[in-house]
Amino acid sequence: MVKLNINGATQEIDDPEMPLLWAIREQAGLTGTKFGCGSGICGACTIHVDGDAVRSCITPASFAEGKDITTIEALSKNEDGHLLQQAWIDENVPQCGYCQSGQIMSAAAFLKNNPSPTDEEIRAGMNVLCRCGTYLRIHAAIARAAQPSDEPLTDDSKL
Amino acid sequence: MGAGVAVGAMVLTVSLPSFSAPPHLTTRKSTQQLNAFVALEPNGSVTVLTPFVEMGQGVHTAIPMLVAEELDVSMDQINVREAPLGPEYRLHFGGKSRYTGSSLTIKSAFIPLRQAGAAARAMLLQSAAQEWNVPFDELTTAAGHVTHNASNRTAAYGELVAIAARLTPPKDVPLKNQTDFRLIGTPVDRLDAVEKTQGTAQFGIDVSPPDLLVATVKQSPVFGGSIRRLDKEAALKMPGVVSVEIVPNGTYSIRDYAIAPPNQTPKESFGTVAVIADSFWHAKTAMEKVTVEYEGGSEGFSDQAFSKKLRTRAQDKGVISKSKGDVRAALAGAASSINAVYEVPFLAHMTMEPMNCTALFKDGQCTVWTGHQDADWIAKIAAKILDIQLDKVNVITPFLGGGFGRRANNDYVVQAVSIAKKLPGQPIKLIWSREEDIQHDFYRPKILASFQAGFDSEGNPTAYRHLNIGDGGQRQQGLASHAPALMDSAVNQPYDIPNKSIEYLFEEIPIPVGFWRSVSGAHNGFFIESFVDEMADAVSDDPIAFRLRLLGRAPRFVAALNLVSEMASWHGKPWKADDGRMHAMGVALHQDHDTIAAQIAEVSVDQQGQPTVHKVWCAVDCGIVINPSIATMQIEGGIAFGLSAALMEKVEVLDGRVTNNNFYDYPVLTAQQMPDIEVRFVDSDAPPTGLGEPATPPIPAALCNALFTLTGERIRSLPVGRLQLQSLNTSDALIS
Repeated sequence: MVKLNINGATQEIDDPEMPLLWAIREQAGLTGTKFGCGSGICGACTIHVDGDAVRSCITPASFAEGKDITTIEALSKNEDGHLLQQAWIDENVPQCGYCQSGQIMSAAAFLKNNPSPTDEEIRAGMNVLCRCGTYLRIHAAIARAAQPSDEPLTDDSKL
Repeated sequence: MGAGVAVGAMVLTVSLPSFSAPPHLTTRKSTQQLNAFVALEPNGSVTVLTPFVEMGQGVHTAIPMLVAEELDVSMDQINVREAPLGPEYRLHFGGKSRYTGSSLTIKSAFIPLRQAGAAARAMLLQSAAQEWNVPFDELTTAAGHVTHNASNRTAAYGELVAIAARLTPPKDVPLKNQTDFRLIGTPVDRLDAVEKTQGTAQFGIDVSPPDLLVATVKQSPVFGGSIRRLDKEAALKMPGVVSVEIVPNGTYSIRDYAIAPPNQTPKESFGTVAVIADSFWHAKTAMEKVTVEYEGGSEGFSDQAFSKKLRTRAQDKGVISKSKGDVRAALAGAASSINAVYEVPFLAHMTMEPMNCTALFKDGQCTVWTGHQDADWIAKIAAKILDIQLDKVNVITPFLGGGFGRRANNDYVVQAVSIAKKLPGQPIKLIWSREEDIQHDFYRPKILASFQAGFDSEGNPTAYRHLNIGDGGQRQQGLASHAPALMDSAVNQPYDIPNKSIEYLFEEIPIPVGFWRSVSGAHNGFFIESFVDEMADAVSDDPIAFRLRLLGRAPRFVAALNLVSEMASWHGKPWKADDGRMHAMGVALHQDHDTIAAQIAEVSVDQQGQPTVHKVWCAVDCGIVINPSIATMQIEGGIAFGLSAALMEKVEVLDGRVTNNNFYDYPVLTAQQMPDIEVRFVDSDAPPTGLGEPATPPIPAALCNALFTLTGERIRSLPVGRLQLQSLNTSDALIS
């Protein structure tokens, strides 16, 4: 038995080997986190464990015991998360929308570590697959949500 | 649908079925359905019933825009709900079909959905005219209100709807002129954007009715195989496992279920084992304990041997689809000629959401929750498997996590309903693993093309012959003969050459092939636009100037090509760019699903031979643009999808089974590989045509034409992969 703290609520999981993805989706009933590949490649299942981006489809439940799990459903409780989601809407990012929870959770963790990224850093920093081709708009949304850098602005999307 | 039928107005959502009456007929006096597509609430909110599924293409915003335009309501008054089954929702081909695909939605809905909005508005106007005893013609509408200026009266639609619902729906209500459009042509925000950023959007895989069981399957890795021996004892002892069942593969879901007569028995192979448990994790772990042996199927098929077979036929005479003049005589008499053979690989769809379907069979009725492309087809599949009438099937369609043509084939629905039949009374959610998804797709077929062109002594093209060899999903599923499956967009390209012959040869593919974003455009765009580039090079002409020479009778193509040339500041020759590398541009122009797309790609190649696409410009003529924001998204997505395939995608088949497993051995375009994209639409007042697919066909050719200009080497087989540059000198020349 593993006790998980998912978005502030306790969830008991009987199988410590069960990937966090299925604990979150099927036991906690939070379906915003998505199953894409089951191999930690596509990133649709990205969540936060103690604030770090984690691919939940290959992470056993036992890994998160005693840690704070945040999923897309709770991201907006945090001011930065809310602003990021608003940037996603403002840039008209989602098409089918299936990968977007993973994209947003990945972007939130990226911006936490690098609040004022350059274009090149945004481009290099996002590794969640999207088949609809929303990458340019994801980039623009992250740039919009990023804090202005102390250096002179060069990116049109921040002006 | 008559007036006065009440509906429950709900945003598209997942809920338990009501078997007492279909959901749209449940009695709630408050909501009034004014016609098949429009219902109004007393609070003024408008429910638009749409037969079309939302798989990313934005139709759950664009369809309501058509209604809202004519009804004169704002978009924030709109709810979208899935239309029930019924003939009034079959808007394609003169009322024959309601499917979502072939880039048809806007083309087919543009008039009927506006008529629905206009008819509803007319009923509200008539209600106000009666209520206030004023002439109909003196009334105006705006933002969900009827106003009579002369008497200074105004009423919200919600106040009039009860009267309106008692009126007979009018016919032949005039529609707005394009110049009066208030919403159409504006970048209205997507109605689904908020829920798709908050994790609350419901996809098929998220469906969770009470008492749900979850299944996963292991299908015969060899296509068409059956189960010879199954040992399920160990799996049945695993935690949470309820049952282990053999079910049909469902490969011919269109041919044998959706379009076959109800009394015709499907020709099924039983090569699928399903483990049903209390959770996906338990089903998946138990599946590892199942011992299964398969037999039969297409064991002899490999993609490489098939390529060789196609190549032996490259010089054969084909069956003519379209011809003009005498191409053979013209080739024989040409001052110069060229020929080339092209080939494309099998491709998977790789929707981010793996195939899934939830089905409940209870008390002789069935509810199916799934992502699909035609609710009528889903109902027919369930009715046939369960031997019940169509009106005993309820289809609920959550969002699709990507479609790209994959979900027109509903093998996963056949499987889920077959499982539900074995375990009646409990909803069963079938979820495929990613490995099953890639190994049991309906692939873009491997096709070979053979071209010949002849020129006179002045360098004018006099002869053009194009032969396609292969097979298509339309043929496999009984929807069409060999010709349309192979040809389609090959026969409607615009180049005016005196002697032309467009031909095909059928070579059967024994593994499932299907509809992959743009379908035949996906191969024809690459074939034709690469070879036309070869023709330009053969007569030392600029690729754009050469195309323009052949487009004298095609002004819309000329306009799109000129626009993209201007957008990109076309360079016909390589140049040294700011990054120190040589860059080059390539162009392609293709009409797909009645929409013209002209593209220019700018590329470079690194020292390892890896191409980078820096930017793509795209000019599009799709007639009237309903929503330029969503339209641009579709062009960006179409380019990304085609570019991904052209650069790196290839499904490999050996001994009748696909050897790719997951994204690690079937890589797709990443954020790092995404080019900058600039899109413009040609101003037009022509009726709108499709946008979901037409941006995909040109990009492989634009890419490969640019690589030719850069390296001098012509790519005639996809994917491009890493270039094996013939000489190191060439490679050095690309990078300073």
